[in-house]
Amino acid sequence: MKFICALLLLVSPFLSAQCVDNEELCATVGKWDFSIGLGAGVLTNPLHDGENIPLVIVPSFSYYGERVFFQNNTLGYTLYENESIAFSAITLINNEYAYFNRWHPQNIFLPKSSSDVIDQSPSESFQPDISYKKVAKRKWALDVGAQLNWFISNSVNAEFKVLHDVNKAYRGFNANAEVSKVFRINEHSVLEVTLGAQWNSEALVDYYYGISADETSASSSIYQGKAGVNPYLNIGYAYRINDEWQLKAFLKRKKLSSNIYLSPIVQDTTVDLIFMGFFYEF
Amino acid sequence: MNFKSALMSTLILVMGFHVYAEQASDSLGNVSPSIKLKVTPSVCIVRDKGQLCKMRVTASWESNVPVDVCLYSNEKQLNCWNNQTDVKQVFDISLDKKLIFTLRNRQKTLATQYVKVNASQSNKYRRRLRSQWSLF
Repeated sequence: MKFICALLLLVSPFLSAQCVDNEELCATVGKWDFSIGLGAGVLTNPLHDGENIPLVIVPSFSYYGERVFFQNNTLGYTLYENESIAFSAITLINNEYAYFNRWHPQNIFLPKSSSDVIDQSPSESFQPDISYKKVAKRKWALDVGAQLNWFISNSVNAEFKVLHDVNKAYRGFNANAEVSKVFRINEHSVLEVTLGAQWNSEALVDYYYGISADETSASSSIYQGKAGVNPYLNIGYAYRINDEWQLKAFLKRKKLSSNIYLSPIVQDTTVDLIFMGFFYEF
Repeated sequence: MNFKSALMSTLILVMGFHVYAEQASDSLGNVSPSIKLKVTPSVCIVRDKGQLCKMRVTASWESNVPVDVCLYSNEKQLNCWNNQTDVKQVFDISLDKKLIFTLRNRQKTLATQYVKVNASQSNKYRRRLRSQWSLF
């Protein structure tokens, strides 16, 4: 930690990220930005029996005040900011719950008793696969924590987050570290590449992906989740057609930690997101 | 300067005047008016960009010959005058961006002046703390 602080102090005087009228990296203070995207895409669901989440209409919001900011699902208050770093208190909804959302019409008629919750054949000696619909419902979590942004240059931003759920859903922590670089291809086109890693504490992994003795009658199905790291890569491309319209395409691949994908309710080792569509800015 | 040079200089001056007189006349032999238009003040200061500015301006124009003209702000007609050479009049205007004042006769625009809007507080910007792609 001392090393990181020393490094920040060392580089701060030499690096600056001047903000001008640059829509990808900078926001106008005091102005709401709202856009709505219409296109086609999908977020894959790594759970057994988990339906992929279609993406057709994608709304996007952002507001930056002198201190307060809101961008999509993150609400924050910046405690300290200079040209090189920003330190903020933030809150956001943990997106792990999205895979367990049972509001899908197919999920309405679910077995409620614990006697019929396991898909297993008696002859199987290995850990059987379990539909996520047949384990106890997972709750959504509201995370609160801190975020540090390091503006390494005018086109490179490093972001670090540490969060804890305040509504006591999983009673644990998660953290995130990522580095993004914006490439301006020409006057109309921008490409952004992000490389990051998400760490989930043992409590989080166990809450969402663990199988307790209450949820299964087979001892071989019991699964104890452990802390794990999920690395990911994002690639976003935006082409500005005119003042109101943009064509955007986005790809994301997240590799799940073995402590997640070895869970009996998980069938995939990766989560992918792809979307392409037209965004109208109001 | 000898006589030959003096004669040449006189000829050039006379020919130059003749060319100018031809340019200032139309096909009917009428001399085109030379008009100066002035609108003051020419800048309105507002607090924020895009804010509406209400102000009182004085428009004045002078012509070397009596003319029939109308004054417009963008495409809105403000007033017309007949057979005048010198006019000064006050107008109340509202604008949120540059306004173009033009003095026109039936054929063409004779003079143009701009009134601009300047914001005293220009936009402030902050680095975004989440990527635009964080919606996914």
